[in-house]
Amino acid sequence: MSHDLESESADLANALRESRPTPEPGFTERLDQAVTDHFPPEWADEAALGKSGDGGIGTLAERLRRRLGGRRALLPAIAGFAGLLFVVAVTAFDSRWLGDEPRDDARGMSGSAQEFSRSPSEGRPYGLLESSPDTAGATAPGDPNPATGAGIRLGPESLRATAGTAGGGRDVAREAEITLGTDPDGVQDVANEVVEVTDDHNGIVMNSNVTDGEAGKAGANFRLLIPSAQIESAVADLSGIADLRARSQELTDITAPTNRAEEEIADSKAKIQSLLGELEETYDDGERAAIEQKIRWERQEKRWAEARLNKLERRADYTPVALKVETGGASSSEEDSGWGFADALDDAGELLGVAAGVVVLALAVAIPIGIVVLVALALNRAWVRRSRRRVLGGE
Amino acid sequence: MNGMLEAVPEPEAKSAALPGPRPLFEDLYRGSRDDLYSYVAGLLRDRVAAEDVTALAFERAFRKWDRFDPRKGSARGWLFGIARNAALDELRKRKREVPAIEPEEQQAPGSVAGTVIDRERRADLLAALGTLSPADREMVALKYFGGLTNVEIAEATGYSSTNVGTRLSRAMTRLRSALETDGFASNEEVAR
Repeated sequence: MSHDLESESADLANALRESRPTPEPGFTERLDQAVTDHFPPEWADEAALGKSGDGGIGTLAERLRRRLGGRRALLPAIAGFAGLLFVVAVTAFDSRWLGDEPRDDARGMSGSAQEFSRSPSEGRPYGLLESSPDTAGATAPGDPNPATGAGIRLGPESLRATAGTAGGGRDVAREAEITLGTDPDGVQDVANEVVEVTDDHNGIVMNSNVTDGEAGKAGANFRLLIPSAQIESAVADLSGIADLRARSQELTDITAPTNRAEEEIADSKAKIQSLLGELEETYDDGERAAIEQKIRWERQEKRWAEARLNKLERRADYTPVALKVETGGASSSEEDSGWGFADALDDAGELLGVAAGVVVLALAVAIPIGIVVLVALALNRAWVRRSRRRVLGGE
Repeated sequence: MNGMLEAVPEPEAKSAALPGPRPLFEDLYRGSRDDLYSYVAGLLRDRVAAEDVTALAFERAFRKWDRFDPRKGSARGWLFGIARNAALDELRKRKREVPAIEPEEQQAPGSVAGTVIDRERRADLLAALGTLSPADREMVALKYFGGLTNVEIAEATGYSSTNVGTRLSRAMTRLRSALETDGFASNEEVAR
């Protein structure tokens, strides 16, 4: 029985082998040609395949690849498109984030109100420190000694609020320093403009010194007094005369010494008045002489106090400006007008930074999308496998 | 056959199945072309679709040939796995049974089968094969139309070799039953 079954199975197997479908010669010839040609993009059409489907064989990606001429054409096209997208993104990012930022070079510093807020010599925003009544001492302007005064840097807004008298009735004194750069031939013109600007703002040229010569030696020095009420516009105008190389302003709180001088004056007046009263009631020549001597001393004290007060008031009303005109150096106008190697390095670094930013942003977008795509691909793969099993009979 | 392919020596059918050095793709193609078509045609039972799937399987195998690792299995098992996926995708796309291959369509000029087996008996056998489930029909097609060993079938389908033997035995039993109970010619008649 078992032998019969084995024999029967062998016969059936042989029958199946002999009944197996065989390909038509025309098909095998076309397929042989495709293999010989390494499946060129047009092979499916030339082999007249896809007649049973919807116009082609394989997946959509396979058909697209054949239509586009294979990977050799598709990959450069995709790479070119991606590169174009990257360039567009970098350009858009650059104009969006850097387009309004003032350039930190000498050309960009030439005298507008907006550019006033930066100090090219220090490379940081101007006016980071503001006046602090608790820390500001009473001293002569510019005295760096913390025990007697405090030099305070203020920005334009702070100066505007404290012009002449600080907010809250405090007295302040200012100092400004400006360094301009120009060509040796332009020193005289710059000097003339400095005087004109000073006059325009009702200022005083305390002294000036103009030196001719070659680049590096030629230059000028000015000591100006500008009314504190006009110091902002005056500094802006002076900064715009030539290439601005450095600019700083210093603010000193002089409320305490001013008050002390006023108190000393008031005390002296009172003492003098008291001594005059004593003098009227004294008839002894010796005593009268002593009182008169005290009155003279006190009047002297009063004059000194008044002189100090006048000086402090002048310091509050007028701001000394030290202006220096330089020639030569890295930032003369001719050199600044050109675009050099350092500028190229700066621009390259800036561009690389922007590119890195774009890459980070792109990754921030691409990574979540990539994760979603990977999950979708995995789900699709699992679904396809399940569908194939189902086709085979619900395995 | 074109000149280039004819220049390649005809490989032994089983040589490509043995694990070892990486074969040439052309060798794999020439040793498997007809077997692969037979398997796909037996599974799909549609000549035109079988040609499409066979060609597509060879194209995919050619594109992926660099990724084939001989240490993981035979080239024929790998190739039939690709063809199996393509054929199942074709079945999924259709979601219906296609008509059986007509015996007269099957005859090729000079076919040995045409001279040995009576067309009517062959029609009975193919019709009985059509009554099997796709899973059973796939096993029969892989084994007797594709000429694969059980190991190669395991590589192509992902089943274990033991499972392949069991499935194949079950499929043959069902085919035999279909031949006997559905009024088809007996096995002896078919074999004769």
